[in-house]
Amino acid sequence: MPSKPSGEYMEELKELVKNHVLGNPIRLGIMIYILPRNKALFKELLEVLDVTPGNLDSHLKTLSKAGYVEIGKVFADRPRTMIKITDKGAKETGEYLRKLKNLLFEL
Amino acid sequence: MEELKEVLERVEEKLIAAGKIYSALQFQVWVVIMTLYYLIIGPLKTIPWQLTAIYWILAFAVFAYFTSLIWKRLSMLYLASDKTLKTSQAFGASIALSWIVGAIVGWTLIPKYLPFDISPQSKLAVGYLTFISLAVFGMFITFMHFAKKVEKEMIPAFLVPALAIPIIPKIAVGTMAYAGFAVALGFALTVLAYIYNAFKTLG
Repeated sequence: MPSKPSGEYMEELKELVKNHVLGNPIRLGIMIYILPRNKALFKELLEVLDVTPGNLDSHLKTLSKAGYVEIGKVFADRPRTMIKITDKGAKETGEYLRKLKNLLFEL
Repeated sequence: MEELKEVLERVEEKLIAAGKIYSALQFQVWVVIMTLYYLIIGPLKTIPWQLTAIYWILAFAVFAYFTSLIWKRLSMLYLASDKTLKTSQAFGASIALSWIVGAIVGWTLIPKYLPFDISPQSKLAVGYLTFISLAVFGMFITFMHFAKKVEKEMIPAFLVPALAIPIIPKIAVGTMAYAGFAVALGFALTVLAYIYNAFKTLG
């Protein structure tokens, strides 16, 4: 298959990052962290990603709305918010990472 | 751009390594369960069948629990990777079938119908080794068919027990212990292979 000019790949990359739910680095970071673990506590994500609770909550709501994660409560010493990856979330994250990698290697 | 490429490669490597570590855990759980059994029965003069029955029922329950925990994580990694499972249910059913077939052949047919003139203990040992080799080989074929993946690391887990089968008739005493050690060795080699390849992936 003939390769495209690098300008076209750059445009494709910009479109991918602009339009995809995972185009935001925080949301991508959330999915990459949860993927091998299946789930994570809200508190864990705050520490790993170094963002404010409000910011994290907003990103999690976006991911939940897109069907990438499920947000629930677990009861340990006190109720804690648990974020679980969905099948769709795992698949889309893998696909996004592959597309991103393929485009970057074409540039 | 170069930094981003590197980051993506590192992410990919970590996800692959995580998958291999989970697979290693699965086999190691079984090594712990098996060797614990030998530790318990070692000091006993006779082994009551009730102890064996209760232990292995509990052991399978513990193994099933750990397998379900590990499988939840592994299945997400498979979904994210290029190698997707056709259907998770069919995959699970195929794995279960390999263990059931292994159990029927190894624990029922072999001890009953093995034609060679060997002691009942030796027939049991051959049956046990057949059970493990058939079951794990079934898992190996399942991964090849559903995940389009050759799990090379799994090979010692079925090959070492299979190779031990012809040695059993040559052993005078302790055939079940020998069989147990053969399975433990095969599984330990598989765990080593997974861990080695996980670190190799991380570079």
